[in-house]
Formats: sequence, C-alpha cells, structure tokens
Amino acid sequence: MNELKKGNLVINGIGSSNGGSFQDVSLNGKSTVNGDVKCEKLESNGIATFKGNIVSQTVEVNGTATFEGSISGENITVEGIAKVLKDVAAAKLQVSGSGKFGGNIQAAEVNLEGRASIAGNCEAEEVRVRGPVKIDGELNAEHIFIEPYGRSSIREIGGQRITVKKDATFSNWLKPFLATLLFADSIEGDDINLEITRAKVVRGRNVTIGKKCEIDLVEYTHRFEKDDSATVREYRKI
Amino acid sequence: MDADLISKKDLLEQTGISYGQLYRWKRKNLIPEDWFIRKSTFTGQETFFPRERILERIEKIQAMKENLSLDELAEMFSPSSGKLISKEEILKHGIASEFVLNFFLEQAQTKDQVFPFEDVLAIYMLEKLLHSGEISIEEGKMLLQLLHNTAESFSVDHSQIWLIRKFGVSSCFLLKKAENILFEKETKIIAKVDLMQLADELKMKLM
Repeated sequence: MNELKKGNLVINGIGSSNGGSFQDVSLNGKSTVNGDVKCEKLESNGIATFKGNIVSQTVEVNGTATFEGSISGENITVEGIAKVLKDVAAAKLQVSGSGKFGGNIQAAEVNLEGRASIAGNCEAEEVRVRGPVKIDGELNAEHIFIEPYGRSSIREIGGQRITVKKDATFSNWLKPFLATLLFADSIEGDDINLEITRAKVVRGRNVTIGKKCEIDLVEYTHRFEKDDSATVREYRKI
Repeated sequence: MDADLISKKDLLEQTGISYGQLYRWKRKNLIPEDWFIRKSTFTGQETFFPRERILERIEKIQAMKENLSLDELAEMFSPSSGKLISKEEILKHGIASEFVLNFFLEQAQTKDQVFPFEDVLAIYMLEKLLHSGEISIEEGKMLLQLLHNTAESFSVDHSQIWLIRKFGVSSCFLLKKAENILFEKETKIIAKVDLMQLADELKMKLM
C-alpha cells in the first residue's frame, strides 16, 4: 500500500474549512468546519463548530466546541466546554470541564469530573463520575463509581459493582444550593453500595443502603444492610 | 400478564444469572437492545423479555461461554459476522445440496467460490424451502430476486420473508418489524421464514 502523507489543517484566527482527511487538525481562534473530518489528532482551543462527523485517534477540546455530528476515536478529552449532538464512541472519554451529549456514549473507560449530561445511554466497562451529572438514559457498566454533587440524576443504572458515595473532599463552603443527592429510577447490580441516593427500586445480590438514602423498594438475593439514617420503605429477599 | 413475556426478575431466578452478567451481555450485544421491553407495573417500571427467545439465547450463551470469549460470542450472535464462507464449507456443513448451490450460482451469475454471510443465508433458505417442496424453482428465483433488490436495506433483525399464492399466482415480500398481517381468505401463505431464527440456525451449523 502506498501511504500518502496527509497534510494538517491549522486555523489561527477566524476561519472555516470544509473538512476532509488530515494528519493533525489544530484550531485556535474561531473556526467552523463544515464537513466530516478524519484525522489522527484533533485539538480545538478556541471556539469551534463542527458540522460533520469526526473520526480521530485523539480529540482534545480546551475551549468551547460544538459537534453537530458524532465523534469516534481512541482518546477523547474535554477540558473546556463541549457539546456533542450525536453519539460518541471511544476507548477513553474524559470530561473535566463541561460535556453535554445528545446521543449515546460507548467507551471502555468513562471519567466524568466536571459537569456532564447525557441524553442517551452510556455504556462502558469502567465509569467514574465526580460532580454534577445527568443521564436521561441508562448507565450500564461493569464497575460504576459515582460521587455526585448537587442534584444529580441517572434514570437507570445497571452493572456488576455500583457504588455511590458522598465525596468528603468537596469542602463545606463550596456547598451546592440544593443538597447533594443522586436521583434514580432503578439501580440493578451484583454488589450495590449506596449513599445519598434517592431511588425507586434497588435490586441486587448484596445491597448496602448507606446514609441519607431514600429507597422505595429493595430486592436482594443474598445480603442486605441498612444505615440507621436511611429510609427504605419496603425490602424483600427474593 | 402477557404469557409470551418474562420479567427480568423471573428470568434471573429461572436461569441463575446475575444482574451483572445480564448487563454485561447487553453491553456486548449478546442480547439485542430491543428485546428489553419496558412496561409499567404496580411496582413501577419493569423490564420484560420475549420469553422463548431470551431463554433460548441465555441457554446458548451459558453453554458456549466455556469455550468462547464474550467477544467471540458477540460475533456469533451478531447478524452477519463479515466472514466469508467457501463453497466447500457450505457442502461440508450440510447447509445446502450441490443442486441448490449451483442453482444459486446460476441465478446470481457469479463464479465466486466464497460468499458473504447474507448470501449463505439465502442459499440456506432456498435449500430448506426447495427441499421441503414448499416452493417451486420459479418461486425460488423470485425469492432470490427479492433478496437481491432489498440487499441494501437488508438486516435479519425482525425481518421475515413471506411467500403467498393466490389462484396459483405467487408473490413474495420482506417484512420488517411487522405484526398482524391479514390476508383475504383465498390467499395462501406458502412459506414464512424468520430471518433471525434462520441466521441462528445457520450459525449453529457453521460452528
């Protein structure tokens, strides 16, 4: 095969491109990319709008970027503000700033540390959430670890090990306006360990309901433990 | 409650699998997304599955996961594995007789020695229908023509192929996600093929 060395797309200042196939894409300033982009490395530092789909080994957003299509790649990092209207597929997705996802997320590893909202489902092997999160679909992962902040909500959570913990390091003066709570319709897994969670149904093998939880119904098969400060309206062994 | 559906809770109890496993298999696409049917019950939202299909699927996964990795299994359950299958394999695994195979080659006007999964599925379907005597050679040609024309939008999920006859005139069509099809009374349904089931059968043969 005859490998052609591909060119780079660099925009400094104000500019636009129709997209295409590149080695590196580096956008600084205010840029608009109107078509699909295929590249090895995509870095967006200023304000950028991508109207097509992105396929890139690494995607890094440091400024504000809007993706009207989908993104697929190995490593996707959002340190600024990113809005993706369609699906995201990656080996690793890291959001440290703010991420708003209109579609589904499929990844091996998902790290949400800033503010994140997902309109679809999120499927991964390892999921770590620290901060305010909102998932309208289902969160399905082998291991799920959530430290919510403020009002967080995830419609359905399913997996092998699910842990929701109150994060002690969010200091007191940084208190959110509303008390920190995670809302969920259903949580299902093998080993479930919850704190500060308000859920309608929790089903699992070993279920531990910790402090400040309010659960309507717990169904467990092996072990069930409840903290004194937690409210469980109904529980049964099945 | 609907007898054809099984709730998630009953499913886990009956098969002995755990939530973790079920979610893992869902993630790996071993269980298709649209088998998860959400319904509201008096305890809130519950998930149901088509009883027969899910039980059969879980039995297969459990039987085979000893020898295959989850990814290999996923490939097996995915509608088409992208692997090409040779003429010899088709004959060796008893998927089709030489006669049907030659008939297919003649119709498709190719001299290919290897076939994509979709073609093999078509060959397998022809073999079954022709051998059971349900359809004639002419109707076989029509079926192939149909598959050929719909190749672009072809997927085995929820698809069925029907062949109908009225006063000796036959016609065939491809159904997608359809339920409740009613015919006038002189129309005879000659053959009804569920492509998903057929694909599963074929994969078992190819193992």
